[in-house]
Amino acid sequence: MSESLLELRNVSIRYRTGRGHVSAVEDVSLQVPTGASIGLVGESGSGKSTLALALMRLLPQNAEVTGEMIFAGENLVTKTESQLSKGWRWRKLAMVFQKSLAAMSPVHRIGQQMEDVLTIHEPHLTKPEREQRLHDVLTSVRLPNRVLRAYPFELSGGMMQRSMIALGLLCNPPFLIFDEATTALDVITQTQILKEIERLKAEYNLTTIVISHDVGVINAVTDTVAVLYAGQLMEVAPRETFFSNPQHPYSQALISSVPRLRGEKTRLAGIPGSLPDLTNPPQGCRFAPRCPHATEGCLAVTPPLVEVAPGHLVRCTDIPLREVVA
Amino acid sequence: MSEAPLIVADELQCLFTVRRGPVEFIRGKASRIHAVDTVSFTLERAEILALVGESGCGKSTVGRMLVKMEEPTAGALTFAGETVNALSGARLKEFRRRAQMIFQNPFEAFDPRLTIGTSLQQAMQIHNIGKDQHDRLQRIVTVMERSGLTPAEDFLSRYPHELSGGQSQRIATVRVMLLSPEFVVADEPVSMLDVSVRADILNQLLDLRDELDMGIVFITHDLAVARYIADRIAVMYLGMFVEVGPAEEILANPRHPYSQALLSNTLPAGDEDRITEPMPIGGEVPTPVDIQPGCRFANRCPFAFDRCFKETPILQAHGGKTEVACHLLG
Repeated sequence: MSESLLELRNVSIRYRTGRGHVSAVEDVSLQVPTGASIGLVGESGSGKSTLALALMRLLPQNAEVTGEMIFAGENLVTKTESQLSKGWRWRKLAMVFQKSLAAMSPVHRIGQQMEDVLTIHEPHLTKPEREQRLHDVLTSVRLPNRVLRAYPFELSGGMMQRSMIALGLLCNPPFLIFDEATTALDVITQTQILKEIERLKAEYNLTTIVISHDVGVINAVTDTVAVLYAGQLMEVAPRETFFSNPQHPYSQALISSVPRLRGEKTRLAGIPGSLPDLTNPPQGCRFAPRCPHATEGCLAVTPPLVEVAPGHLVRCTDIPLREVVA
Repeated sequence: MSEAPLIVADELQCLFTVRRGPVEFIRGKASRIHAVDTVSFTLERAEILALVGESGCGKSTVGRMLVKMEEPTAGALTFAGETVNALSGARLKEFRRRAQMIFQNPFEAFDPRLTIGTSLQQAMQIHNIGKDQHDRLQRIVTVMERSGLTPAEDFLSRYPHELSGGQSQRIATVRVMLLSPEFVVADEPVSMLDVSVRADILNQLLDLRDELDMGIVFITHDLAVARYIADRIAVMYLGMFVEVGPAEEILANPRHPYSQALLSNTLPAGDEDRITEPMPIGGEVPTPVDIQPGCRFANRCPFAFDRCFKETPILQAHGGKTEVACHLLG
C-alpha cells in the first residue's frame, strides 16, 4: 500500500452556538493513501461537509478543530490563514461544491472568475499562460471555450458542474474533494459527470474524497467507503466489501433502505427515528438509539473502531471480533 | 359511478407562450414552449402511475393539470366521470378536496407564520370536515400518531422551520389524509429527503392506497423509486409519453431508446443491480420551443434514421402491455 497523502488523527470538530457546543465530528481517524478515492457517506447532518470544510480550513469562526490533519507531512490544523492562501488552497487541496450556481459570482463571467483564481494563487503566470491554462482545463472537462464568456445563469446544470470541476483542477492540485458534486443533476448527466471524474482521476493522478448521501454515487466512483453517522465514523471498508458484506447495522440499514432496480420487491425498512441532538450527544454509540440490535452496553460505552479484516474497520460492539489485526 | 376510471386524460396539451426580445414583442410574435403535448392515459382507483423523466420533460406540468392547478391548452380531463375543465362553484370545491397534491419541497408547503396545528385545521375547516375545533384536533392527533409522529401534541405547536425535512413531508402527507381524497399527485415527494426517511414516506403512500383505494400519480426522476411504488410507469421526454406500461415490464425490458438510456444510466446501489453498460447519450434535454414534426428524442438518439426526423411516432403496443412511441419498432 502506498503512503498516505492525507491522514486524519482523532479529528473532532465542535461548533460553539447559543445553545451550547454542537459536536459535529467526533474523533475521526482516517487514512487517505495517495491515489485513493474515499467515499464519505451518511445522512444530512452527519458531519460529512463539516469534515470537508475543515480540510479546506473554510469552517466558520465558531468552529473548533482538535486533532491532527496531516497532509503531505504537514499539519493543516496549525497552518495560518496566510500560509493557507499561499500555496495550499487550490494549489494542493481543492473542492467542488454542491450548489455550483451558488458557488460562483452571478455578475462576473466564468472566465474572469477562473482567471482570478490563477492571478491570486499562481501570480507568476503571464496573461497568455493563464489563458492557455484555462483553455487546457476546459478541454479536459469537455467544455467549449465559449463558456469563458458566459455568466453562470446561462449554463445548464451539467455545464455548471463541469465548470466547477474545471475550477477545482485549475491549479493542478493532487487532492480534490467532491461535496455532493452530482446531487442536483439528472441521471444521464450525473453518469456523464461521474465518468469524467473517473477519467480525470487517472489523467491528473488525483486523490479524491467523494461526499454523497447516495450510495449509488459512492458505488460508482470510490474504492473505499467511510460511513459517518452523527459525526462518528461507523465503518470503513473497501467498496466491494461495503456493498456485499456491510458489518455495521447503520451501513446495512443505509443500503437496504434504497429501492432496487432488479430482484425481488420487498417492503423497504427505512431507519426509524432521527439523528440525535448533537448539542447533547448520547453516551456510548451514537447510533444506539435507532439501532435494532442495541443493548444496554451500546448506550453506555462508545465502541472502538475495530479492524475486522484488513482495511475493514467497524465501530460496533455487536461484531464478533474475527481476525482482529493488532 | 365508481365504474368510471378515476382519471381519464385525453390528449392533454399545455403550451406556454414566451415573448422574446423587443422586436417580437412589438410585432406580437410569440414563441411557444410545448411543456406537455398530447398526453393521454387512464388511471384506475387504487392504481399508482409513476411519471418518470428528466427535469424539464413536463412531468410536473402534467401533475399540475391533473389537480387543476394549470389549465390545459387543449384536451379533456375526466375525474370519476366528471369533466374537470368545466367544474365551478361547489363542484370545483369538492374536486379540490378529492384531488390533492404533495409537493417536492416540504419546507415550502406550509405557511411559515402558522403553526402546524393551525395549518392542518385550516385545511379541514375549508372543506367542512369535523364538527368543531375539538373534533378536528382529535382527528389530527389520531392521524398523526398513526403516521408515527408521536407525541402529536408536540408537533402541533411547532412552526414549519422547527421541523426536519422528513417530518415536514410526513405532515404534508397527514394534511392530505385528513381530507380523505380519492386522488393524489405526489410531485417528487422524496427527492429531497434522506434515504432512511424516504422508505417511510413511500410506505405511507402505499398504505394510503391500500386503505383508501386512492389513485396516485407519482412524479419522480428515479426509476428505482418508480419501480418500488408504481404499478405502471410512464416515461416522459419533452412533453410526451415515450413508453407506458407495467412497471416490471419496463424495468426488465425497456423498448424505447430513451427509456433504455435512462435505465442504463441509473446508478445501481449494488453490483447485482447493474446489467448493462450505461448507454452514452450526447447533449442535454433541449427546451421544447416551436417544435417541428418528428420524434423529439431523434437528435440525441443513437439509433435515429430518416423517418424519425419527419414523422412523430405515436404510442402503440408492440406485443405485451407496454405501449411505445418509436419508429424502430415498426
